[in-house]
Amino acid sequence: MKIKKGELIIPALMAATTAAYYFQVWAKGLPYSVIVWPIYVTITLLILLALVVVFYIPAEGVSEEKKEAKLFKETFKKPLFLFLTTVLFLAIMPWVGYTVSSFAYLFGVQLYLGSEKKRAFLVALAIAIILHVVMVVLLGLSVPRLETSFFTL
Amino acid sequence: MSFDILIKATEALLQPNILIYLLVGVMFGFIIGAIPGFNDTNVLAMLLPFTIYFGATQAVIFMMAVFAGAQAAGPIPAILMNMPGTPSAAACCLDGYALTRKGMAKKALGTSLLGSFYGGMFSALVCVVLGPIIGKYALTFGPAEMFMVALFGLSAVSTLTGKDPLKGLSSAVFGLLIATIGTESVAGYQRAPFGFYELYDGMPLIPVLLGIFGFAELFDMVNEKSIVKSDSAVQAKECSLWDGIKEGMKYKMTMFRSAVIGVIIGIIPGTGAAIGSWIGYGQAKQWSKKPEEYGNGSYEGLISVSTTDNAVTGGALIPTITLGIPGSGTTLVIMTALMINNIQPGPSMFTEYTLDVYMIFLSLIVANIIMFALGTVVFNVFSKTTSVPTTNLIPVIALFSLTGSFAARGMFFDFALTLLFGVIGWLMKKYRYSTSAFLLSLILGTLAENNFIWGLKLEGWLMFARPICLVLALLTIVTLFVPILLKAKKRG
Repeated sequence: MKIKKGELIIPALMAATTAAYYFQVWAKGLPYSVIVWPIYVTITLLILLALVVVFYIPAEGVSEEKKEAKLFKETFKKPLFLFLTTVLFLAIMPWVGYTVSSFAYLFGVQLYLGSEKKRAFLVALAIAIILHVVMVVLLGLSVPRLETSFFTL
Repeated sequence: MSFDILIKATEALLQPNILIYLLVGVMFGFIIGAIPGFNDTNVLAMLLPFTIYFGATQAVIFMMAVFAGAQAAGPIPAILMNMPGTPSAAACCLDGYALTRKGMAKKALGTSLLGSFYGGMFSALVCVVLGPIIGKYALTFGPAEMFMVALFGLSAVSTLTGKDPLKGLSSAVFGLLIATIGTESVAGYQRAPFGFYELYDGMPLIPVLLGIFGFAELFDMVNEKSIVKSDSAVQAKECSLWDGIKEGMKYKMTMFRSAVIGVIIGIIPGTGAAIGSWIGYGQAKQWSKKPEEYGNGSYEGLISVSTTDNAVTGGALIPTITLGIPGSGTTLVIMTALMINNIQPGPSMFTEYTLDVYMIFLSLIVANIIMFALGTVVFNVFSKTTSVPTTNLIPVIALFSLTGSFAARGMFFDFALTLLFGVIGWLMKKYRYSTSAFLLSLILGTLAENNFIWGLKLEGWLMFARPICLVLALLTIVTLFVPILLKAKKRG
C-alpha cells in the first residue's frame, strides 16, 4: 500500500513525545493520582492520532504529495541554512558572547540571503549595538558575554 | 458614587504633572509591548522601588498607563512580523499577519488600535460605574467556576481547528498534554520535565509562542523577497491607518461582546489577557457571519482580539482595588506598589482613599485617549517595517524572537526551545495542523486541570451544581451550538 510519508511526521512526533512522557512517568514511579488527567488526555490523543493515520496516510492524493515533495526539494535549502546557522549561533554564543555572535549571525544570514555586503554590515552592526545597549547595559540581562583580559563585551 | 468626587478626581487627574506621568507611561508601554518577550509585569516589577518617590496614586496611574500602552502595542509585531509582542497578542498573528501579507498592514494596525481603544475605554467606564459592585463577585469564583471558565475557553477550539477537524483536535489535545509537563499542583510531583530543570515550572509560554509564530514563519519567508505578497504591493501603498479605524467601526457588536468578555476575564483572578484574547477570538468566530474569513485576514477577528486584550486592563483592576485580590500579574505588581506606599487595597480603600481610587479608575480613560492619539502616529511609523526586504528582515526577526524568549526568564535553554518550536510550528503549518488550537490548549490546560482536581477534592462531582457553574456550562453549550443551529436555519 502506498502511503503519504510526509503526513506521518506530526503524528509520529506527537506519539514519540507521548512515549517519552510516559517513559519518564514510569521511570519515576509517579502515583496514579498524579497522572489521572494526563491519562485521559493521552487516551483522547491516541484515538485522534489513530483516526488521523486512517484518514490521512493512505494512498489517495499521493501524486499531489509528490508534487509537494518536489517543490519542497527546490525550496528547502534556505530554511535548512537558517536552521543550521541558528544552531551554530547558539553553539558559539557561550564562547564569543551574545553581542559578537549576534553580529556574526545577522551579517552571515543577510549575506547568504543575497543582501548587499555594505548594507548587511551596517544593519548587523546597528542591531547588535542596539541589542547590546538595551539587553546588557540598560536591562542587565545575564546573556553570555565575551570576556577578555582587556574588556568584557 | 457621588459626582462631586468624580469632578474632584477629574480635576486632580488633569494636573500637568499627572498628564506627563500618563504620557510617559503610555509611551513606555508602547516600547515594552512592541518588543517580543518583554512583558509589562516584569518591567513594572523592576520599577517598584521607584514608586516610593512617585507617591502611591501617581505610581499606580503611571503603571496603568504602561499596562494600557503595552497591551495596545503587543499586536504591532504580531501584525507586522507574525511575532507576538506579548502572549496576549498571539491571536493577533492569525488575521493581522494575513492582512499584512495582503498589503494591508496599516489598515490592520488601525483596526487593532481602534479595538484597543474601545476595549480600554469600555473597561475603564465599567471600573468607574460598576467597579465596587461587581468586584464582590470575583470572590464567588472557586475551582469549579474556574474550571468552567477554562472549558468555556476551550470551546473555542471548535472554531480554530481549520479545514481538517481531526488534525485540529489532535493539535488541541497534544497542547493539553504538553501543558501537563512540570510540577503537578496537588502533591508537587515532577511530571515529565525531560531531564530539564528549566521545565519544572511547566512549558514556558513565551518561547513556545515566539517559536510557533515568529520563527516558524521565517522558514517560509526565506524564499520570498518581501513580507507583502508581490500582487498586493499596490494595495499596500493605498491603504492607511484611518481606513483601518473606519473598517473596525463596522464591527460594533463584536467589539462590545469582546469588551464584555475582556472585563469578565480580567475580573477573574488567575486568568489574564492571554486567556481572554483567545476566548474573545473564539467567540467572535462562533457568532460571525463570515467565519471562513477568520485566519485569512479578517478585520472582525483582529478587532475581537485587540478589544478583549485591552478590556482586561480595567477588569483586572476591579478586584485589585475593591478586594485586594489581583486579577493578573501586572495588577499584582500595581497592588504591591500601593502596599509599599502604605495603602492596603481592599473594601476599606473606598472609604479611606475615595479620591485616589477614582483618580486611578479615571486615569485609565485618560490613558486610553492618550494611547489612541499617540498610536495614530507611532503605529504609522512601525508599519514602514513591511517595506524592508526580507534579506535584511529575516535575521533581525530571528534574533528578536530568540532574544525575546531569553529575556522572559533569562534562561539559555529558552533560545533552543524557541528554535525547536519554530521547527514544530513550521511542520504543523505545512501539514495543516492547527497551531492556534495547540496554543489555546497549552494556555488553558493548566488552569483546567488544576481547578478540576481541586474542585473534585473539595466538593466531588457536586461542584458542577453551583449556580455560576451551571450558568457557565449553559453559556458554553449555547456558544457551541446556537451559531451552528442559526446557520443551519439560514440555509433552510
